[in-house]
Amino acid sequence: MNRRTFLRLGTFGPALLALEGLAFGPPPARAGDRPEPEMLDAGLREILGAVTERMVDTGEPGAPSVSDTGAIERIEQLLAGLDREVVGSVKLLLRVVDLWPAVMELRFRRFRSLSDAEKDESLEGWLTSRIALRRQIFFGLRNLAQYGYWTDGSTWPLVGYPGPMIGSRV
Amino acid sequence: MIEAGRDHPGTRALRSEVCVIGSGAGGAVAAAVLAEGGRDVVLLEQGGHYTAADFNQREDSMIPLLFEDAGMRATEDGSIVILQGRGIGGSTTHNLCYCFRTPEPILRRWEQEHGVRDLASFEESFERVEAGLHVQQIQEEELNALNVAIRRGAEHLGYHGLVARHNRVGCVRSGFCLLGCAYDVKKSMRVTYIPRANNAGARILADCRVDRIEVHPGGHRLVHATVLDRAGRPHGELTVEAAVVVCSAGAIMSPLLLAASGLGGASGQLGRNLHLHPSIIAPAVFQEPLHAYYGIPQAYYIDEFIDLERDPRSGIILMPISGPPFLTATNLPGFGRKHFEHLRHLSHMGGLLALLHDQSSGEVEAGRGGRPRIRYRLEPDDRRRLIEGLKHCVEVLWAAGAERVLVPYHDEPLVLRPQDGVSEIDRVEARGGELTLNSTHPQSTCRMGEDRSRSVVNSYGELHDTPAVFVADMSVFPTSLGAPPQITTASLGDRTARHVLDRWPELRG
Repeated sequence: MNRRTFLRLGTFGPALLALEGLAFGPPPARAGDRPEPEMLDAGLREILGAVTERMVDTGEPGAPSVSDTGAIERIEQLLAGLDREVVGSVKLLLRVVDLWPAVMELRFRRFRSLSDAEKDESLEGWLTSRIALRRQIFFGLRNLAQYGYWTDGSTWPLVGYPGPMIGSRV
Repeated sequence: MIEAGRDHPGTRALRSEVCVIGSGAGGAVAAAVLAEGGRDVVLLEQGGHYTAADFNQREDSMIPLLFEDAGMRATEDGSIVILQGRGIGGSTTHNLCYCFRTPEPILRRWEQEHGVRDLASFEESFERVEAGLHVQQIQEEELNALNVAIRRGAEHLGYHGLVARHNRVGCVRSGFCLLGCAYDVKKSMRVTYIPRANNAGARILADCRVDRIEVHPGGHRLVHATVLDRAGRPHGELTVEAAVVVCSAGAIMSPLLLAASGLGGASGQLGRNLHLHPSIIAPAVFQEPLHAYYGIPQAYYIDEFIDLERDPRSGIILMPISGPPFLTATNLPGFGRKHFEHLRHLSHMGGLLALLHDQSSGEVEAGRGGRPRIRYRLEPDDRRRLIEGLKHCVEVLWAAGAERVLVPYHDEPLVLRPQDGVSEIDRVEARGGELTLNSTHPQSTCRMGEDRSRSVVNSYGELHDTPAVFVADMSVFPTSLGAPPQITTASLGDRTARHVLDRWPELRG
């Protein structure tokens, strides 16, 4: 994850988000959600969950889901240790990624409302963009998602990783 | 005893003879040598104090604890990820133990081009810190499967390589060095010089972020620090009054601290001349399982492409690289299923990295909120050398038995098999293919020299423009080092501390 990426997002993120209020109104409230978490609100958690699911999709039957692994909670914990300005930029970034398909790809739907294939297409656009900043944002998000998922022990059998040696092999 | 600042909210004022800022290779050695020399020392460390019992070999636990910004520090353009350690012991807690003395041609260059004096004292410091860190030759039987394969590949191609010297004793070869040694067999600063400093009476405080150094003309220096709580938030203030300050906060933070204090800026070189030893990683998949995340990660290296006697300004070192799932995942291309198609072979994976002795340079300055803004431009010649190094990595990996090597260009990842040759790399380079680079060795931002107009500190690390404020870390390297920096940095700590002891009657004021 590149911290500067998140900070530099400030250069065009707010402009894009200004459109959000005009075109879409405020992000939908979600009744019955769990109490507001410390780092991300319900909407941001939903976006992060949607991004993470596609970033770490293995296609393997029986692979642990993102929610099985507690990936989002783990990412939130990581963010809690970073300084406030960086976390603010991550939040901004998530909203931009969510809004991007609606405004910039003319899909008129947020990222989290897209089908899996459409989400992958949108992410591919970030990865292969000619704009370096967009590629950096992609890798920032990808690394966050991978941190959340692949550091959970339930995912290790998928890659044949036996896990730490402490207490077992030494 | 090491005091955790997080347990001490409120305002405190300490007095000492010397205040050392930073507990990595430079600061820990300086603190120990000064304390053993009879000086009253306070050592401040921004990160936390962790012990072997904390090192659980899990990436999710250890990366946020042991790396600055949880491993997310990078250059402003995002092109180079910079891994730097934090916590008692600094980067020596997570490094992979390569022990190289400063290459002779580099020392000569420091002398000839920057006027650095008294090279003989470096030699004496090397001897002392190698003894202090228990440096020894890695034994044949200690090489893991990846290192054995890489050596086989190098020998097959006729490339020169060596089994390394490391600071580890009785290594159990778990392979988790990067996440902190759970067995205390890695002889990092945390288990060598920090206890020595402690035993000699130094007071060591973790969780203390130094904000500025105040210099009182003709008198003491006052170090102002913020004490951080468990979550890294301010919950106290600390001042340390001292006759001498040794700043060892590393090549990113030392220049920022000095600039924030209005010190060291006379030459205009403070924060400039940043070298990074940028590296490219080439992951590969082997037919047989290597389980390269176990065993000593970097026990061997290839030095065929660096000859500092012939050219002290450039060269490439090739080093094995491997890791657990997350760290490996970040170096593989793509996302989702395409990414998983690579990662699923983790147990068969191992890689080589090409590390550049760089001529390119950059700068560090304070950005928003005082955080570092790091700029670095890889010059075309250095880019070319790095890509040549990447090709050598691919060829060595093939010769080592790799079935395929991945070159993780962002928009067109290459999967190269032995029959493919390396020319595809040229094609993608020609159209401006982009790779993420890594750095673990930022250096040279407070460079040493005798010309006050071209350097920040003198031959012993003392600021040209401010007496009794010294710098002892990688920031004082006058040029790119061209080798892993642990021994050089520790030796600078030793050398600077002995210089302070020699001059104590004058420096005490």
